[in-house]
This record gives sequence, C-alpha cells and structure tokens, in this order.
Amino acid sequence: MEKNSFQEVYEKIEVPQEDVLKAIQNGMNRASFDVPKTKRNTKIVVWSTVAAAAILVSSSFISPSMSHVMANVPLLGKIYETFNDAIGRSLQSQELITELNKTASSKGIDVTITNAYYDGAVVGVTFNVKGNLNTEESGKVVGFYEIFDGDEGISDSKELVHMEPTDDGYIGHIQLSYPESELPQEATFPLEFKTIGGKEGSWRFDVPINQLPYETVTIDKESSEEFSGVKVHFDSILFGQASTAINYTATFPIQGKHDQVRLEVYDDKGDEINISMDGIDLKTIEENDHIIVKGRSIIPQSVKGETKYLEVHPKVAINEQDQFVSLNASTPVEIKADRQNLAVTIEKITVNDHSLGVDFQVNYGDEMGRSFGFFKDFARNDVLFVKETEKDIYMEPMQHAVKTIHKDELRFRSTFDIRKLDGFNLNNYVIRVNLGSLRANIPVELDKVKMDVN
Amino acid sequence: MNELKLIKKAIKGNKKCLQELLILHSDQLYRTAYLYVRNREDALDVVQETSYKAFLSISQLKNEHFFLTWLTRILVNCSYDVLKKSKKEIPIDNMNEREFDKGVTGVESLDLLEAIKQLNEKYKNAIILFYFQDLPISEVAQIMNIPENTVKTYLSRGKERLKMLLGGMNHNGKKLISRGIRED
Repeated sequence: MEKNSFQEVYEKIEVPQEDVLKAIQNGMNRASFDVPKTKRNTKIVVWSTVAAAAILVSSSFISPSMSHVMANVPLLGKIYETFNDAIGRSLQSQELITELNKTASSKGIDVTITNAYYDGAVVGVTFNVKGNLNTEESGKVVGFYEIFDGDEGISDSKELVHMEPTDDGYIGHIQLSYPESELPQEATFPLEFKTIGGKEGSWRFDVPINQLPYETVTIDKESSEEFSGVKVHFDSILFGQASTAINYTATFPIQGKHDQVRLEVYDDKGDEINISMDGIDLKTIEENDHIIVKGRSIIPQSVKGETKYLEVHPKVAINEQDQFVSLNASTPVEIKADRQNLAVTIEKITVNDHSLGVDFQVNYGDEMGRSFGFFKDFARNDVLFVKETEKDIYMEPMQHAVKTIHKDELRFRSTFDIRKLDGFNLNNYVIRVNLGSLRANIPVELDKVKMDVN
Repeated sequence: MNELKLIKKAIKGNKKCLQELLILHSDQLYRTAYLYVRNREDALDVVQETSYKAFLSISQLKNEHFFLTWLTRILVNCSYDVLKKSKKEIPIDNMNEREFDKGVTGVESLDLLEAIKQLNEKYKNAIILFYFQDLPISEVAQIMNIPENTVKTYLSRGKERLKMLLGGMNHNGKKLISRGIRED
C-alpha cells in the first residue's frame, strides 16, 4: 500500500467497460427524449448545476456564474478573473496593482513579470511566458517555481503553476501569504522559475513589492479551553485594501505539537465569511513545556464597511494517540482522550472457536452534532483487532462485520473471524482504538471572540 | 479527429462527437464517480446522470478548453446527488454491509479509499480531483469555485488528515503520495 501512489489506486479501480458505455448511451437516449421540452428544461439543468456547485462550496465568496467562467478566454486584463483571485480583482478595480515589466530569458523562453500587488499579508504576481513551449493536453503550460530560494521553512515555497494560453503566449499567476509575522513595507522577494513547459532553465527575479496602505488594530483577546490546555490569543487584525489578515498566537501543551487551529468567521448578520488561507503557521517555538505557534488566517476581502464586527469561532483539532485494550481486560474498559471529551467504552469482549466479538459504545452515546454515519464509519474503521507485535503498523484491517446494537446510544458490535489466525491467544492480540479520527473531525470549540471592525 | 475539434463539433450539436468524448473519458468518469459513491451500481448511475446532463447542456459550454472542467463539475454534482439519495433510501447499516459483502472489487488499497471517505467534503473534492483524477490546480479551483490557493490549502490539509487517518502508513518511506507538490 505504501508504495501505491494515488494514481495507482485510481488506475486499479476496475472499470466495467460495457456497463459504463451502456450508461453513457442511456444518458444520451434519455436526453434525446427530453429534447421536445427544450429550452426550459435546458435552463433548469444548467441552473441547477450552478446551484449545486454553490452548495458544494459551502462558503462561497465570489460566484462567477458558470457561463462566465466558461466564456472567459484568458486575456491579460482579465488575468485575476481567469485565476479566480478575488483580492487581485478587487485591487485591479481600485487601480492598486503595480505594473512591472521585468523579463528574464533562458533556453529561448522569455518570462515577463507583468504585475504585482502586496496587500496586507498577501502577495500576488502575474506573468507571461513566450517562446516555443510544450503544452499539456489541455492546452496549458506547466511551470515549476521556487520562492525565497525554496526555503524549507516556508510552506508552498516550491510549487507548480499552470499557465493559460493567450493569443501570443501564456499567462500565469502566483498568490502567496507573506511568510513572516512581521510584514515589511517594502521588500523584494526572490522568485525563480526552474522548469517551464518541460524545459529546465533559470528565470530568476527579485520582485519588488510595496505594501499598500493598511491599518492594524491590536486585538488582545483570548479564548482558551482548560481540559485540552489550548489557548488562542488574537493579536491583531490587519485591514488591507482587499484582504483582511487575522494574526494570532496559539499555545498548546507539549504533547499538542500537531494540534491545529481552524477559524470560522461570521459577520454581524451571522453569515459566514470565507477564509481563503487558514492556519498559516509563521513560527513555532517550544517554551516552558508549551508549543507556541504564531499563526495567521486570511479573509480575501476588505471587511470595513461590510460588517460592524467579526465574530471568530476558534476551533482546535487536538492531537490524540491511539490506545490499546488487552483482550484479557475486565470489561467495561473506558478509553478516554487525554485532552478532550471523547471516549470509547469497550463493554464486552467475547471469544469462541471461530470469532471474537467486541461490544463498544462511542462517546457515551453523545453524537456531538455529528451524523450517525460518521460514528458508524468510526466503528468500522477505528476499533480494530490487531496483533500485539504489529499494533503500530497500520495495515489493511482484518475483515470484520459491524453491527449497530443501539443506534441512539452509539453502541456497536464488531465481529472478527479468528479461524485463520495462526497462534491466536488472548495475549498476542489487542484491540486498537484510533481516537485520531474522532478528534480530527470533532475539534475542540473555544469561546467565540468578537472583534470590532470600525 | 483531435479532442478540441470533437468538443467544438459537440458544442454545435453533434451528438456523435459528444458521445465519442464521453467514451474517451469514460474510465475517468467511472473511477472518479466510484471514489465518491464507492459502489459499482451507484457509480454507473452517476455516469448515466452525467451523460444525460452533458447532452442536455453541452450547447451552453462557451469555451472548448473547459470541456473537462465542465464535465467534471457535472460529475461531482451528480455524485453528491446520488449519495444524498442513497442516504435516504438505504439504511446506513445495510449500505455498509452491502459494501462489505462485495468487497471493493479489484481495489487493494482499501485503507486509502476508506480514509478518503472520511474526509470532509471540501478536502475530499480537492484530493479526488487533483491527486486521483490528475486535474491541474487551476481546474480544481474552477470546479470547486474557489481560489487556487484555497485548493492548495485544502490539499495540504487533506493530505495531512489522510496521513493521520492512515496512521503509521508513512513510517518507513517518506512518500505517501507520488504527485506531491511539496513532498520533495
């Protein structure tokens, strides 16, 4: 499994060729029956697709209608639309984009940095490429670039970029969050393209950026949760021209190295505001048995004048270790998360010649706002029967059946077939309870924090 | 005839061309649908619905370069429709047993697929479209109607979560993902 790439897994999904062709044919036939109802029907279908797409992205912030996206032949003037960059688009309409014309040539390919912006904590760069290039099947060109010399400490410092065809070349777009907690007013950031359209070379730029006027408001509000030992201190909000950055300092206990802050933001009408870049870790330090993370989240719009305040709902996904239960243990055994109210109670373990049964209850029956399906999945995948010596190796789980004993109480029974196990005894097998998947999906919710905007 | 020509003709109303295009992409359509609905029958339903909607609305497609983006968006929507429907019609108990009985035909990597299923919707969409279906980030962004950087965020978050769900899968070798954009 380990060596399998996603692609290999994908290729391995067997395609029932004939049935698929039949399905396509059936769809086509149904459509041709529908044609007499023509126009109205077509419209409904198209709009329902748009509507469904809007639902798909629960926090939609800009919604270019589908036809708009489709009709959009990439033009330089429309580059921010083409690449769906809301910040760039807004700055362009305010005429706040700096034009640059810096060209680097290598291997017969010219790369020109055309525009740049630096708004709040967000930097955007657009460029065009001319020359003899290999295109992808889709007509696009792929490039590979590094920023800040590929510094490993910076996330996204080495990336791929896809360029769109234009009349006389290709255009591309890069957006990043400035990777420091202190934001310089003027800076140059090193950007180097290393591959373009399959050709290796070096197209290097020091892109000058000047921060647009902005306002920083110190917040100094804090939200914490005692049991998990996490604390999120909101330091400041940075109001840019077309973006808003929320800076915070999160403190976790030492075992919470992999804890993860997620913010949800709502306006004064209670509508959710989209966050485009969440939980950007700027700096992590270890101090007095604590992990301190300087972090930032970006809202891709200016919120001034849009809402009187921002209501931030901080959540922290807590890192939890897996736990193990011996088959000899006297039941019930309670497996509790160390830092969160999550639990699995092993209520009964029964063994006979051919099978091992485990009765268990999740979270004392408390669904915590999640669907039953979520717990059913958990019951199937995360309470498993494994060999003691292999308990840390996550192999394909042993085949087993999961039965719901009592739906409302989240009680389940898993039955494992032990007939084919060699040398099975009660000492060399254990039950592994993977609390990790519960905690990843049920983050600890901290108290809301209100931040005035004006 | 190359694909672009086929698309142009299909947009103009040539049904044979559209059919040919769908057949050209049929493996991909089926596999991506399968990742979402996780059983053969439902995946075939998704393919049929997608084909139906594609034939009805192909004339609305304004730029032939966006054919696959457009088609994939329809497919993703149809997948969620089918998922919603099957949730209503089949008690979840049966659904899981049914999958269990059949085994996942031909797929060894049960864990990864199971883990994908547990991701929340936005991470799932990003991971499926980018890593499995192999679409460029820009197209994933258009299908999901979000900025490219958000797609990247979702991908790295999704990957992180997958690694967590898959637990020790990553202990021995570094690479879990072949097409990691920042893995190397």
